[in-house]
Amino acid sequence: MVTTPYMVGPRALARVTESPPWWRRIDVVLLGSTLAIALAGLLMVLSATRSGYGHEGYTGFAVRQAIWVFLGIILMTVCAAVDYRKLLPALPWLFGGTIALLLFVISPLGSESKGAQAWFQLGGFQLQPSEFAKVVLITVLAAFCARQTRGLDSRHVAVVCGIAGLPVTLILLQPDLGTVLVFAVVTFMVLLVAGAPARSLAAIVGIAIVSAALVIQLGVLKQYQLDRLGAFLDPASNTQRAAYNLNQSKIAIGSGGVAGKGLFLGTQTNLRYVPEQHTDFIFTVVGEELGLLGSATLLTLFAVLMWRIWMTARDAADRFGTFICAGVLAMFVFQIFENVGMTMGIMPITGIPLPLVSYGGSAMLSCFAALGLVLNVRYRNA
Amino acid sequence: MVNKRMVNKRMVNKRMVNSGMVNNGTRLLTSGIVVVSLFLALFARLFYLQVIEEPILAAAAQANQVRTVYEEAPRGRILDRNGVVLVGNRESDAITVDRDVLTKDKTLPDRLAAFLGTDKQSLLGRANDSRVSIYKPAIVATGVDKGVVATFRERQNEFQGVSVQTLVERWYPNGPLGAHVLGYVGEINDGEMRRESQVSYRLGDEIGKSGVEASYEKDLRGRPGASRIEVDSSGRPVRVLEHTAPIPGNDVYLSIGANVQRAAEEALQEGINAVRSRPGVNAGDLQASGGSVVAVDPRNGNLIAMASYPAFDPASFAGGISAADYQKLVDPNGPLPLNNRAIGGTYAPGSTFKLVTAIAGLKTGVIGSGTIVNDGGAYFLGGKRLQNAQNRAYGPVDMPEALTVSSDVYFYGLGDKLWAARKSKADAIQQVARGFGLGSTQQAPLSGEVSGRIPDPASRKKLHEDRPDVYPEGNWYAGDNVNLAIGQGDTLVTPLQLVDAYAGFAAHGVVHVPRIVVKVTDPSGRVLRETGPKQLSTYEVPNDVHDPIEKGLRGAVGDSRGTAYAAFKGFDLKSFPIAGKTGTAQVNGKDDTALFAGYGPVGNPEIAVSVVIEQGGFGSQSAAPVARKVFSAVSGQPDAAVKLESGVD
Repeated sequence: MVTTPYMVGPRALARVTESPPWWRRIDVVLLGSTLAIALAGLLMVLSATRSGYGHEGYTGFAVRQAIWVFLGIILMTVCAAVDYRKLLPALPWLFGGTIALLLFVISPLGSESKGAQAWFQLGGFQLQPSEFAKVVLITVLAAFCARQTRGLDSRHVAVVCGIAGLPVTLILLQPDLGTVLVFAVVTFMVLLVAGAPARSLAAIVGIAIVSAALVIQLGVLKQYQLDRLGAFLDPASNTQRAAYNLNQSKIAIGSGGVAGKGLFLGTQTNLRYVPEQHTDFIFTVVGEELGLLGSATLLTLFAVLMWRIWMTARDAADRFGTFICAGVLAMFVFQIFENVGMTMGIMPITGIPLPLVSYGGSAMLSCFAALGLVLNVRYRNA
Repeated sequence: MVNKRMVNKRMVNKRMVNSGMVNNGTRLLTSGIVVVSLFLALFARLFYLQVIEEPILAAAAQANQVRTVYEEAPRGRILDRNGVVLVGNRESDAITVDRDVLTKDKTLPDRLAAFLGTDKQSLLGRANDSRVSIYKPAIVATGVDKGVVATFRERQNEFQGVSVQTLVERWYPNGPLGAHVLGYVGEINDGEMRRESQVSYRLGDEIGKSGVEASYEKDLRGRPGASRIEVDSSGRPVRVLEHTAPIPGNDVYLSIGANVQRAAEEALQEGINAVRSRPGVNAGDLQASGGSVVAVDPRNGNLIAMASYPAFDPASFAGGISAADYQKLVDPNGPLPLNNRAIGGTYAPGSTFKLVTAIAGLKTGVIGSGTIVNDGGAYFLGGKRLQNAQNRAYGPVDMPEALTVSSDVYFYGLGDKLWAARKSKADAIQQVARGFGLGSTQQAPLSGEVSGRIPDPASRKKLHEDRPDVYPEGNWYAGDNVNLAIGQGDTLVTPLQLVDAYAGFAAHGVVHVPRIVVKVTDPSGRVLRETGPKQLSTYEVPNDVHDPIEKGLRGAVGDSRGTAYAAFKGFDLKSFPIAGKTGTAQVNGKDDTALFAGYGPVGNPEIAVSVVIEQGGFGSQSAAPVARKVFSAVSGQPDAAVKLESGVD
C-alpha cells in the first residue's frame, strides 16, 4: 500500500513498515542539545547579570529566564504533540492574528525600546510579536509551498514573497532590521528547498540587494543602525559607541583564551564592559568565562542541533514537514551565525538574539515552538 | 494567502506531497553544506580570537579594568640657616563628594552649597577640578573651618556620599618672608610636562615654579605613591589591587637667616615708602616702582638675604590660585611681583660701577692712586660738556677722594684716558667687570636669573649688525668709554651681580657663586648633601690697588664729604667699618635708579649688600639708608632714624 518515496532516507525506509514505539520516535539528540543549550544560556544570563544590578549575586534575570525556559518546554511539548498537519486549518487564523499583532505593535498600543517599536508591555513582561511571527511565517510558507505539488513556478514565488512581504513591511516600520533579515533568509530557504526556479531565486537576491540600498538611502534606518554598520566596516574607529561595543566584545571573547577565566570570573563581564551582555552579546560571557573550550562546545551543541533539524528535513514524511524544518533551520542558522559573528567582528551588529541563550521571553518561546514543530515532524515521519 | 483547498486533507497525503520534487534533495544538501561552512567560519574566528589574538586582547582586558591612581608625596620643607621653618606643610580639611552621588543626587549640590555658605556654581566648578583624579572623590571645598567640619560630622546623615578628607598643602609660618627665594608651587603645565617627562609627572601634579621650590624640585618633591585599582566600565573603583606609599620629600636648609631677611624686607619696604613721599626729579612724586636688597657673605658666597619689591604671598598658590588672581600677578602692565628683581632685574649701575673703573685705572697704570684731578664740575670731551651730578665741583681730588665724593669728572677723565690708550688697554674696564662677574649670570640656583650686559666695541658692533633699527650706532667712541666709566650707557647689571662684585672686591678678587642652599636632609633630619663654597671667578687685586680704593669707599660712608655719610650718620663705624658706594643711574624717560653697594666690617668682611630702587632718585638718599638698616641688623647696632635733607649721587 505504501510506496517508497525516492527521497526518503534509509532509516525512514526501515520504519515504513513497522512504526517504532512512541518514545523511540522522539529525537532525543535534538531534545538533549536543546536543553543543554538552554541550561548553558541560563548560567550565562546569571553570570552576565549577577553583578551591577544593585547587589552582588543578583538572580532576577536568571530566574525570569528560567521561567521562560520552563514555559518554552511546555510550548515545545504542545507544538510537538499535535500532528503538524492538523495545524493547517488553523494557519489562516494564526497568520491573520500575527499580522494584527504586528499592526497593533506599531500603533500607540505598542511600546518603543532601543529605537524600535516592537514590544507590548504586559505588566512586568514584554511581548515581541515579531518573534512569534517568525514561526508562524515558516509554517504558512511551508504549507503554501507544500501545496504546490507540481513544483513552484515564478507565479508561486511571487505569492510567497507577497505572503512574507506583509509581516516584513510591518516589522520594517518598527523598524527592526535584524528581524526582517531573519524573515528574508527563512523565506529564501523555504523557496530554495521547495524547488523554486533558479531564475526566480536570482531575481529575489537581486531585488534584496536593490532594496537594501534603498533602505539605507531612504533613511528608514536610524542613525544607531548606520553607526553599527559603520563600526563593522571600520572597527578601529573607537569614537563611535558601536565601535566601542564591538571592541569590548572582542576583548571579552579573546581574553578568555583557551580555558576561559572561569565561570563568574570574567572581568569584562563582572565589570560590565560589554553592553547588552545578557541579550545580544551573551556569547561574550561564554567566550570570556569558558574560553575556547566552552564556546566551541556551545557552538558544537548548536551544530548538533542544526544537524538534527537538517536530518529531520531530509527524512520528513512529507514536503510540508521538510519545508517547516528547512525554515526552522534557516532561522536558527542565520541567527546563530549573525549573533555569534557580530560578537567576534565578522558580521555587522544587529539586534538579533542568540537562540535559546540570549535573555528574552518572546525569542525563547518562539525557538522552543519552532523546535517543537521539528520534533513533531520527526515524530511523524515513520 | 492560505486558500481553502490547502486545508483539504487529501492534499497532505504523504504520497501526493512527496511527488514532483525535482531538486529538493540537492538543494537541501547544498544548504547543509552552507550551514557547515558557516559553522566552520565561526570556529575559525573563535580560534583566531581566543588563541592567536589572545595575548593582545587579554592585555586589553587588563588595561580596561586596572587604573593607577597616584598620590603625591608631602613636599619637603624649606628652612633657614638656623632651622626656622619658612615653608612647611599643613593639614587642611576638605569636603569631598563621591562622583557617583554627585551625578545622581540632584539636590545635593544645592544643599551642600548652602551648608558650606557658597553657591552651587563654584561648588560644582571645584568638583570638576581636573587636578583631582577622577578615580578619587571630587573635592568641593578646601581649608574648611574646624567648626564647620564638626557641624558637618553631626549632620553627616543628611549628606550621603559626602565626607571630610585631610589634605596636605604648602604652609608658610613666616608669611611671605623670603617669597622670591622660596618661590611657589603650582600645577604642572604642558611645557613642564614635556621637560620633566623622565621624572614621571602627571597632569595635575604640583611642581615648584620658581625660587628654591623650582631649583630643588627633585629633592622637595619626594616620590608619589601609587594604587592600582580595579574599575568597572563606568570607571567606578571596585577594589584596590596594590598600594605603594608615597615617600616624603627632603628638607632643604637655606643660607639665609629669617631675621636678617626680615630686616632686609622691612628696610626695603620702608625705604620705598620714604622715596614715594619725596618729589621726583622729572615729574611728580618718585614712583619707586620696585627695588631689591641682596646681601651675601664675601667669604663664601652665602646668601644672607634677598628681597625684591613688590613681593607676593606664596601662600596664595597653596591649594590652587584662581585664574583671575594669577593674571593679576603676571599682567605685563602691572608691577610683576613674581619677578625676582634681585636676579631678574637689570639696571645701569651708575657710580657704583666706579669701583670697577678705579681698579682698571690702577691695574693698567693709566693713573696712580695719588693722581690728582682738579674737578671743576665738568669734563669736556671733544667740545661736549659732561658735568657732575647737580653740577657740583669738588676741586682737586685723588682716587680715594674721587670715590668718596663720587666725582664724575675724575672718572670721565679716566675713561677717556683708557680709551686713548686703547692700543693696549681698549677693554680694560670690561675685563675688570667680567672678572668680578658683572654682565654674566652668577649661576645662582634660582630660575629667572639674567646676565645683564657689559658693552664693549665688539658687542656694540654685533648688536648693530643684528638689529640696526634698535641699535643705530655700531661704532665705539671715547664718549662710550667715558659713559661706561661711570656705569651708564648700555651697561646693565643685576643687583646680585652688583653685590657679588663688591663682595669679590672685599675678598681681594675672589667672587663666589651665590650659595643659597646649605644642606639637604631627609625627613628624619639625616644630612644627604652639603654644599660648599664655590668660586665663580677671580680677578687679582693687589694691595696697592685694593687699599686706596677701599679707603675711598670707606670715605663715602664715613667721611663727612662722603655721599653716604648722611645715611650712615650715627652708625658706629669704628666697631663695624663699612666701605660702600652710592649710585644714581639715569634711565631714559624715567626717574633715576637709586643704588648702593658696600661691605663690612672692613678688614674682615662678613657681609656685602646691594640696594637698588627703581625710579628711586638719589642713591645716597634712597638706597643707602636701606643698606644701613641691613648693616644694623647684621652688626647688632641700633638703627637710628636718619634724617636726610638732600641727596647726592
